[in-house]
Amino acid sequence: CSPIVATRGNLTDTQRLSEIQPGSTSRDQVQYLLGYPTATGTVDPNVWYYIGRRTEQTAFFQPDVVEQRIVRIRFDGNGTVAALDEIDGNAARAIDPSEATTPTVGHDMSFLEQLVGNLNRPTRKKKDDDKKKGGRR
Amino acid sequence: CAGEKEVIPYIERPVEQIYTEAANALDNENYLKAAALFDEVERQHPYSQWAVRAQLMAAYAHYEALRYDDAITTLDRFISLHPGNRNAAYAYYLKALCYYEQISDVRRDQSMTESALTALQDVARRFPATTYARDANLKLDLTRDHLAGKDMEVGRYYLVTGQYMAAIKRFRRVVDKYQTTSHVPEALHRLTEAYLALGIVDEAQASAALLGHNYPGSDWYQRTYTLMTDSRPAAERGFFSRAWDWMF
Amino acid sequence: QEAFSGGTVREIRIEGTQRIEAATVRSYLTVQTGDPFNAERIDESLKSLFATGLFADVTLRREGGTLVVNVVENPIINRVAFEGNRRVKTDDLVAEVQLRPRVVYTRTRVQNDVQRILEIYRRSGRFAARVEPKIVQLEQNRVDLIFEIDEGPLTGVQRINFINNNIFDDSDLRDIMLTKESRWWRFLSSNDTYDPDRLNYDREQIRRHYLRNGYADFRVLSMVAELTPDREDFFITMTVDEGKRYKFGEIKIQSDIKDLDGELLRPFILAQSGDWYDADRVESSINLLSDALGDLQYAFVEVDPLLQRNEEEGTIDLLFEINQSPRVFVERIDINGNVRTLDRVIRREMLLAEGDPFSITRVRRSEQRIKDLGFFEEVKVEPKEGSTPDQSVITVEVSEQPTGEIQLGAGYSTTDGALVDFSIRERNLLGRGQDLRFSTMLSTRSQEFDVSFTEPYFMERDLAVGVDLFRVVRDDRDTITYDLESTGIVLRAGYPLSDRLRQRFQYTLSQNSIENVSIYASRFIRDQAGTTTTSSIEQLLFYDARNSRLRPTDGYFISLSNEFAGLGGSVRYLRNRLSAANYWNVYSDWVLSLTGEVGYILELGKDIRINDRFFLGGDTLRGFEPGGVGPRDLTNGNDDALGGKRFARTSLEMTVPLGSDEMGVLAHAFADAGTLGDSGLKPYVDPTDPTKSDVFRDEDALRASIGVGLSWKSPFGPIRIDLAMPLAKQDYDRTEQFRFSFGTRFN
Repeated sequence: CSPIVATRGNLTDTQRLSEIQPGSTSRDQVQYLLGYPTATGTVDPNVWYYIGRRTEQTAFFQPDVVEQRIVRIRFDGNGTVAALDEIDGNAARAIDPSEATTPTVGHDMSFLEQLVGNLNRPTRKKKDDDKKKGGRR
Repeated sequence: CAGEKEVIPYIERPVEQIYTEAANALDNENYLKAAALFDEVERQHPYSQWAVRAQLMAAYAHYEALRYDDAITTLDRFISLHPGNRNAAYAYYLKALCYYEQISDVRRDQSMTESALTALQDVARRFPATTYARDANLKLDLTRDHLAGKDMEVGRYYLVTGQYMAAIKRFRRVVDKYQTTSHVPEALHRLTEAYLALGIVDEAQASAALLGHNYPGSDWYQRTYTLMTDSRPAAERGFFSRAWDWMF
Repeated sequence: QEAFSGGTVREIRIEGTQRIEAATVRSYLTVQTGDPFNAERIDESLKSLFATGLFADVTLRREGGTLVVNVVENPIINRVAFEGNRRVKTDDLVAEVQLRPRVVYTRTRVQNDVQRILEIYRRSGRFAARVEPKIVQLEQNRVDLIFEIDEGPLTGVQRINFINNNIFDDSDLRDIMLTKESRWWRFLSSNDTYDPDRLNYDREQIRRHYLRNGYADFRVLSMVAELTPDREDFFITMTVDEGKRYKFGEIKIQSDIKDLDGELLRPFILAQSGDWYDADRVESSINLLSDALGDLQYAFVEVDPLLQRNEEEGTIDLLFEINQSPRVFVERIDINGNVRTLDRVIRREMLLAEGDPFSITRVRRSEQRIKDLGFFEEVKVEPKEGSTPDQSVITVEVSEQPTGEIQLGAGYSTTDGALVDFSIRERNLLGRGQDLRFSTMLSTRSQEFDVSFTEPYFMERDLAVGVDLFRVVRDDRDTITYDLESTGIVLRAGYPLSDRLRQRFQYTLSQNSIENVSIYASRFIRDQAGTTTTSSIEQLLFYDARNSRLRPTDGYFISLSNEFAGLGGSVRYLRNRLSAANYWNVYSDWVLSLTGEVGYILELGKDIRINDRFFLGGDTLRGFEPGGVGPRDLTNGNDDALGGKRFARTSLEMTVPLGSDEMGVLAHAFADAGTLGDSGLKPYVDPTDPTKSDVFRDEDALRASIGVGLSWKSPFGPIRIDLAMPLAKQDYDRTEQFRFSFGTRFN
């Protein structure tokens, strides 16, 4: 039985990538060729990332990444490509996302309420101050 | 459900009589009856100066009876009929409260939150000097915080299911669009997690540095710090733990 | 009337206000004290005051330096009443009409409301309706508003005729149309009333009919509906121009994408040159092609068909052009309307994630997956342009429906008498997509309890995990002469193997006991007394190619299940079952379905206990009672169904909707057939004295029945009535002519 194949993110193809020349290609040309970047630098907006993966998933197992390309493009002051490099995936870390979450307020539906049915009669919300400020948890 | 709409027999009565009866009903918290009676005042004596007051009291009674939609329609009519009235500020504020109280938790539809946001901005912009505006601004922060909470919820879903690119886009949206909310520290931590999972180490460091610089005291910075220093490379994990991850 | 030009406005006086404050009138004026008198600005103020809709009349005049604004306020509505509305309920009218008590009365608003009322009547097929608004003046400038309605008769369709249609005659074309000519025997359906939207739909149906049969140039020149003088009926005349009939000429595929050879996509094209031209086949070829390309991971690809008519040979050449579509990515997926369902319960059904390449086939398939959840009345997944042209924002708009169900079924059968089954189920528990069901079946002779819980996405993976607890107590004296008690637990896990193929593993641990078997009982049953434990593992493969899970109208499904009992426990067997069903959309939404099922139990050294065997009847073979057919022991007067190790059954059913869709009434006609045999028991035959030997029947005879049914999605819940008449049966079978079930739905 064939696994479910999916292309995730922006998987750049080599032929289009080769048309980008550091020092001459402009920001708009890059966007025309590769499309909108998957992400830009959190701090430095002149860094564009094109991250793409092809995954194959069988049954409920973790989809395994068959092909992955991370292309980083740096622009200089006036928007022309300064440098272009690819990041291979072997610096990847095994991360286990932390369970904590920043608290939010808002009426949550109780089991009884769903059974009784008319949901649009919300109980009065807790006062605002009992929502803890900031990320203290 | 929450008590049928109160049906008042239609008999013409002098305005003072209905008004006092309505006010008494309001005092002993029979809000539905009070709302119906105040509506009756306005219907039978639209031109008396009681009518204007009754309209506002009807809206307040609906609000207390948690019948938010009726309150909002009555308030809209009050605002369109008496924009210059000295209680207009209270009318706008009460309308904003009606939306604000219906905000549901972040994992569900946020249309109420968006309408609360616009209504609160209305109050703050139109009546800046009033006490209503001060409270509206406080509630505005909480509403924006709530909308950011929704983006965080979606981001966490993508992160947990291993769709790191989608997660990065969502958390960046929180960092860019909701800088003043309480979710930014967590968003930066999540960005570090996602970039590390992809192996883009220097972007992870950039997010971690930004978090450390702006929120040094926050728990999230502690978590990012430990993550950056001692997380195991993906390849080195033992066979069993990889198999377990692979299974679950 | 002093001229308005020259001098400044020293003072503005407002006259005639009763309810509205002078300050409010002043706020709408564009002229303020101190401004020069200027006719144009005064005119603007006049317009803006009228625009508020608060005033019946506004006049501005000048007295020296004062601008006098005289207003007459519009009256306030005290009460709104409707007279003469019999077909349409007052509440529906109140909901549709804008004017309400305490709202300002204006002539324009009354006219709009009159139009709204007429629109309601048009929609329900009454074009001759007339509405007269009446005003009753009250003191303090208040009015009562009464709409006097003369509904008029139901405007039907007297005659539908066609002009210059020579390929298909009038009656052929009328069959295709939904709108029917008014006839007395069509009282149940509302299709014979005049409804312009339905006529446009019919026009499109006829066009497609011609295009399906090769008339590529077909055009509807005009469609005219004249009302008869007595305003009771319409005459509809449609003039058409059929044009020539074409065949498929040359069919080519041309791909301008590097390393994609067009020819390997040839099998996906349904049209063959030489066949008559058929527009539907071209369309389905395009869908197949784009699906195939999607699966080959060509994210940004479009299929455009180019048609080349050559008049003389009467052929159409077809060129499927495959070209690069713009590289568009998903910027964001917004989910709205989920008041109760959690965001991730919907988001996990999307085949796209944010940042992925955009593909319209995946958007459509995602929409179908969300619909298949069965939590929503309406699901709309719409892509819109994002913040930049090469990005798209997909909005998912859902409107929830009650997912809680109380099911109350009552059955009547020739032997069991009345039985009641009751189940309470929440398919979207706390909006988390989990399914919790408690059901019980009580009848004079048996009680069944069953609790089941399923989490469709365990650990956020596409892994459906569930647990069931069940307890069955059967102590009915006259049909089966023993008490059967079985309690157990089932653990199950299901996951997808490919897009359409799912597999499920299920472990069952149950304890079954047969006690106080009556002395008259069949010998076979007597020696089954005692308690056994079953510990079995079952695998189920399910290939689902239907177009929808809830109400399939096209496609098929196949399922294979094999259960091995013998992981410990005192019972050993391998029970296999293969079932399949195919659905055809025969005509508009008439659905023909053919289902088939076969089952076989393989003995593994131990004999098969009665309650592990197959039984046939009830829902699986309508017209016969559950367990009413198959091997039976008739010695000395009792009548015990023994079940069988081998069975086969099939059912052909046609489902036809009656009346309009919202009524939800479906008629069913069905034919069931089936056989059950091989009880694996050997009757005792006494060669000397036949009377002592067992009277034992176990033939592979075919049983068959035909019947009709009616199901109705009533406001209280689904109701289904089945009447079945057995055609071929054995004399010892037990029949059941009537089956009825009624369920209510709660939020």
